[in-house]
Amino acid sequence: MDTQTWSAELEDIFVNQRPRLCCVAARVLGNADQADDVVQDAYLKISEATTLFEVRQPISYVSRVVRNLAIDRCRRSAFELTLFAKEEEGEAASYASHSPEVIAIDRQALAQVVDALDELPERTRRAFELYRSGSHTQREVAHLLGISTTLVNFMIRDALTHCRQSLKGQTLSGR
Amino acid sequence: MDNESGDDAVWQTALDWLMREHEETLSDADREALHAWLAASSQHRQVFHEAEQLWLLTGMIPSGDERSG
Repeated sequence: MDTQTWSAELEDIFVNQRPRLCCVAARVLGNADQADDVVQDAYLKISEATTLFEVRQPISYVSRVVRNLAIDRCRRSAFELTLFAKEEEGEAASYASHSPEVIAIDRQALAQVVDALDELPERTRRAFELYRSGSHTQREVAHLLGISTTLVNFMIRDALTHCRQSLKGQTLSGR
Repeated sequence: MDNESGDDAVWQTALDWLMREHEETLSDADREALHAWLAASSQHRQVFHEAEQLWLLTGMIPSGDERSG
């Protein structure tokens, strides 16, 4: 699919499936107030990110990203509420000021993460993908791959730590 | 790398929280524990922020089933 066709398809999904996507977000958020916001945020991030990928199952991909971002939003607003409750200021408050909107998808970092995941041993990469993108639990991943849950837990940590180191390496060499 | 062992422990704790949250809705008590952990040190907040950014990025990658080519 070329870029233009993909943009048109993406727009089509976000227009025609909007109520469904808002529903996905609202289910996570527990209310409809911020659902539209999350869906809009997903549209912007996916437009950025998918210049790197060909997506074959756009609806399932888009729904999953909406759900991810809703979870992210939940975590942040819960933390902000705690801060307001405690009337804290300073550094703790600055954490909360990182609203989801200001976190743009860094395409270069995303490409780096994709490469880092490809460098992992095949089974580790697969375990991580099943967990993160396939939305399986560690127990389910263990069952699917025929290995222990403990091993799956280590593999997921390895995968994320390897990505982290790879991103840090880039920062250092980029100076 | 500075303070490598301490940083690694904080990083692993940040991953613990993200993985738990990925698998289940955190209870109010859990959420309070997470917030207490974040409020305890700026290093916790900084590393957790790094972990959640990475977590968000990995969530943007289509799975094998969703991807073509």
